[in-house]
Amino acid sequence: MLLNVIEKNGFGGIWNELDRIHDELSNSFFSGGISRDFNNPPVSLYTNKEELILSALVPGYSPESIEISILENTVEIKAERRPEEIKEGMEVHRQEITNRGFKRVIELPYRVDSNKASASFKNGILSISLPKSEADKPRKINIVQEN
Amino acid sequence: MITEKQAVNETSNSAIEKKENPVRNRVFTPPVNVYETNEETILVVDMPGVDEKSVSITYEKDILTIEGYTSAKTPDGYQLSYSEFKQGDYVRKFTINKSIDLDKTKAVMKNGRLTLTLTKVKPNYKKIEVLSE
Repeated sequence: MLLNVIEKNGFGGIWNELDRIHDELSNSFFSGGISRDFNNPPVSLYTNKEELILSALVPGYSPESIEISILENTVEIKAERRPEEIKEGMEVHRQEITNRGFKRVIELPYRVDSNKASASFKNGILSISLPKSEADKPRKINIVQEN
Repeated sequence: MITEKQAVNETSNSAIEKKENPVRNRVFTPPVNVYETNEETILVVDMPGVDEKSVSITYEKDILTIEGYTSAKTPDGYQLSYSEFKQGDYVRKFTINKSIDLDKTKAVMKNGRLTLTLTKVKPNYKKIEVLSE
């Protein structure tokens, strides 16, 4: 017996689909890969004066499987291939998610104090807090009055 | 067999589409994997930012609707300076044209990934003997 699963788009479905295609194209343009595969997971950067938060979408990965390394002003995030979901006797109808693992190197506008960096993981979103190194923080220079 | 079906202008009971929130979130189509065995159909849906409490799965008149709501937003005191993804909710719908055993349906949300197992109803099979009179 075959259980048919047919995609159904409700009101506005076509617009959402267009949005998705647009997002995918722009992501593949910026990150050099198709974001849906998460081979190059999409990232966002949030900043304030002291630090930067790098957020990456990595659904389906466990925090233990993700490796983060920091070198001066670059951050590398990577994960090995995930265990295969497909078992013997399974028929694949649709495969939009791959288990290939990912690797991404992100260049930051300043050097990071790697000792103070920290990372958290929640519901498939990885957040890495990257404080500026003291050397790259803006410094106020006192002006000495000469007589 | 899976066929993509598109029906615009169709009214929907989707909670997201009817949400009375004046600031309507963007709605995304999450990527999905569909596998099938003799006994069950398995859907794997990636919805980063969604936990088990903010996912809704409904089945009505052969239509399976999967919705996920995210609360992820720009952290307080920070400014978004570069972005490759947008924040929003997720909706994806499927028409299922074979009977499923709703009591045996199982859904697990882990690390932003939903795994939904739909158990098929076993067909009542009986060979009918034809007698000659």
